[in-house]
Amino acid sequence: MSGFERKNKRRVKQLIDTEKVYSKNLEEKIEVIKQGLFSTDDFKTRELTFNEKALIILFVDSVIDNKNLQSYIIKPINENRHGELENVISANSIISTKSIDEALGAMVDGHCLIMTEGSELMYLVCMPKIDETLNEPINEKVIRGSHQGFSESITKNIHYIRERISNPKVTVKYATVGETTKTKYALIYISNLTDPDLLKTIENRISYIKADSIQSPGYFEEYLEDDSFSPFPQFLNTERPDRVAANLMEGRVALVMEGSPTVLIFPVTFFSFLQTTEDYNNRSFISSFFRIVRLFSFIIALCLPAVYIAVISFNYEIIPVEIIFSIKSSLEYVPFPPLIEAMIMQLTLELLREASIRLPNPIAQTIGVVGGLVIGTAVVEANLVSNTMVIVVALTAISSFVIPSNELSTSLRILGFPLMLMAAFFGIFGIVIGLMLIFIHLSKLKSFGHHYLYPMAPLDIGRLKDILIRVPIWTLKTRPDDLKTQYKWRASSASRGWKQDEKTD
Amino acid sequence: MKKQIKLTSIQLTFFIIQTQIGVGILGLPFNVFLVSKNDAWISVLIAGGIVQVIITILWLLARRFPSKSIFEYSKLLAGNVIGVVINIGYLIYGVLVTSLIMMFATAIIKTWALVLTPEWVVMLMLLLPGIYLGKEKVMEISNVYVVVSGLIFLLIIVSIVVLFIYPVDWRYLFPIGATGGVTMLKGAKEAYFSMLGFELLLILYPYFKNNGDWAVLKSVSSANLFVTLVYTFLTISSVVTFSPEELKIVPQPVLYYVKSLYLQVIERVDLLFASLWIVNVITSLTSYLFLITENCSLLFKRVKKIKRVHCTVFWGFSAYIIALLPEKPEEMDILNTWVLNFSYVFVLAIPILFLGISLIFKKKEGESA
Repeated sequence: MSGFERKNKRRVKQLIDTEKVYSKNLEEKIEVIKQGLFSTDDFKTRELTFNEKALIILFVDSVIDNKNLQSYIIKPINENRHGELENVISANSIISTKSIDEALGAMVDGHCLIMTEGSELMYLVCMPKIDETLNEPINEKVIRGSHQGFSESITKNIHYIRERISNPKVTVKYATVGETTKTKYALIYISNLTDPDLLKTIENRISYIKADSIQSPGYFEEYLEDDSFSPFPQFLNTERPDRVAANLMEGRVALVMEGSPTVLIFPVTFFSFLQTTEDYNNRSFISSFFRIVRLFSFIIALCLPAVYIAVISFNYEIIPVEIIFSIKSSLEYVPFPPLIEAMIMQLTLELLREASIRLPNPIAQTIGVVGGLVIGTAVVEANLVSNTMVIVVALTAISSFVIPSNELSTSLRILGFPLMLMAAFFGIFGIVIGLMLIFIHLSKLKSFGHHYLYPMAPLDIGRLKDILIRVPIWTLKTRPDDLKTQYKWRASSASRGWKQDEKTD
Repeated sequence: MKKQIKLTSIQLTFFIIQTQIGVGILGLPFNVFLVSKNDAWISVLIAGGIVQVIITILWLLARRFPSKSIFEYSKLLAGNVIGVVINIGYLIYGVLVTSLIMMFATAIIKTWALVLTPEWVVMLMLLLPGIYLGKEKVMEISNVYVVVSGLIFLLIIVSIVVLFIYPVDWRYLFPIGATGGVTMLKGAKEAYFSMLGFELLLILYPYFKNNGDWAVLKSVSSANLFVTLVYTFLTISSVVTFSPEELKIVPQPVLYYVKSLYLQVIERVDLLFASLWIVNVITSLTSYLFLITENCSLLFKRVKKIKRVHCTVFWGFSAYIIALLPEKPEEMDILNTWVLNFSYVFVLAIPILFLGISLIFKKKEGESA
């Protein structure tokens, strides 16, 4: 028996229901299908009469091309009213089936289902929504991987997600929020994976929102987050459908909102902000390296200016004599204490960054040149800031930009300021106290009741292999425990069983 | 959401380790050496053995009241009035230990890193993270402890490296056992102080009872074993790196021999080391603040307005003020002897008494409870 046959023989218990015989009653059938789609809110029905019998078209709104549905199915049926269904509908393929499971699978894949009263046969007509627009999110670019970004329309965005997880278990729950704005949003999750308690918590929290206007996911974030005064983001913002899909498959929940290309993902851990979808697209060797680089950049962005200040103003002894000489010579004519120096440079950098966001692209580049080159050189030549400080600040900025999440990288740079103060007052001792406080805060922080620093605190050594480095995907056989997913299975241990088949000895 | 996440026995182990290892670690070899000379390491081992016996006693006591902490069953065993008095005694003990930790740590920080910074600022810096963490529950505290325990391994690795690159003389260890049993026991008394922290078992037991009573004993014992071995190792390496005459004048031998390490980018590893050691001090501090908080919130259970946070902050600052009082080293020594005597009463005498009462009068937590 070859591996291929073996694979097809083995079926995953949780995923595939056993085939059942369904009654011919239309209402019952619709109910079964609705249950099969976990009462998702983008499931729609349309009732018509054909051959003096009731005919019902069932479809998943977000994956069906509504215009085509109207003009090629509903319109001809309404005009003809009699005859063979195959002859009336203009479609390139009509599949007839009796299996509800097949129908469910096809429905989320861009088919609409036609059922008639008294007939066991159901017809599947292919009518997928085709979206040609490609707008790569500029703040989350990747080299290898999907270049699709979310658009501003909620149905389109759900379509992107359904495209990537083509399974009836993907559930969409529409609702509106905001007394005046009546903003439409949708919660998306995978019904048989996501922890039901988590869903209850989320729904409970959302139910408390009584506000006049909710305009963007940021509003949601502030109403729902566990700790509003924490400098760390507790929701993952992304504009990438593949990232959302990957996170849904982890058992998280996504919130899509009308008029916003950003999708919120929660609950998240701190390490989600240090990962990109590209990590799983590159080879594990490369991704592991970049994960380590990112962790390193996190530490540099947080501590480097503080450590430099501590060393320069307190603990000269720590660095070797040879380096002291060169640093000292560059500090010779600088009138300010290191703290002020660092503050000036850091603030200048923040100014440049903020300025270049607002300006159109070509001018932003000019700002870069003026800011980076002109100010950088001039400030040193004018002896306002030392050479080494420019290097330190530049390194800090670059490492903060390495972090994939914009929110996290900004909060890091902001956290750098109090650390710099601590360093200026108490040297290395102050930095350790500051870092300790940050660490205690992080390990106390929760995102929807889930530990923010998992798997570091609580320590789960087995999970660190997907956090600090990235081991090959097939070694990740189970899901992490923190999200309490309904099933833990991720990949079978025999996924690379072909090794046995090809063994030559 | 309110689901109780299970606390593992590993967390208990690290909780105890982090409480035990604290201020003492840098000065322990010196203090023990002053008494029992080249047999200092045997003294440390003896102290570890004694602590193990005490741990077993504490465990036997705690096992009889699995879901209660000592502050709850003290009233059952000694009656309401005496029970409350004993609880207040534990409170005072906790406050005194907290202030002692702060005093010793500040003294070392002031000699090594921040010579000119006023004492009260340094102490405040130590106290703030302690309070911030100490007001939390066991889960949060032990999560932090587990991660920062990495620093202890760093310490061990650095020590091993030093042993290899520094000219050590193993002959300083000989003759083994020449100082005599009494001196070694006296040395063990010195080491015992650095090992305090295992008494947290009395209040931690109910939190970790889900793991089974033997697992609790096992994890606390392994914590003690680990701490004893680390201390023994550090003592041995201090004794072999410094000659007996030298060791008499270096109060923090661990820092001194780390100083000899030279990395290409870091000239003075000891300064960095002393700063990282602060983390271990803070964890010990936190544990005692936690002890105070648990105690105090039980004492004032009836008063609804007093929350956990108030307890931690109030008693934390009381300890802070006490720590600021002594100005001369002699006064510090007085407090030190006090705390030591207190610890004999509260860690040894009272638990044994309680165990006796509980055994004689067959007082035990009901099976249904």
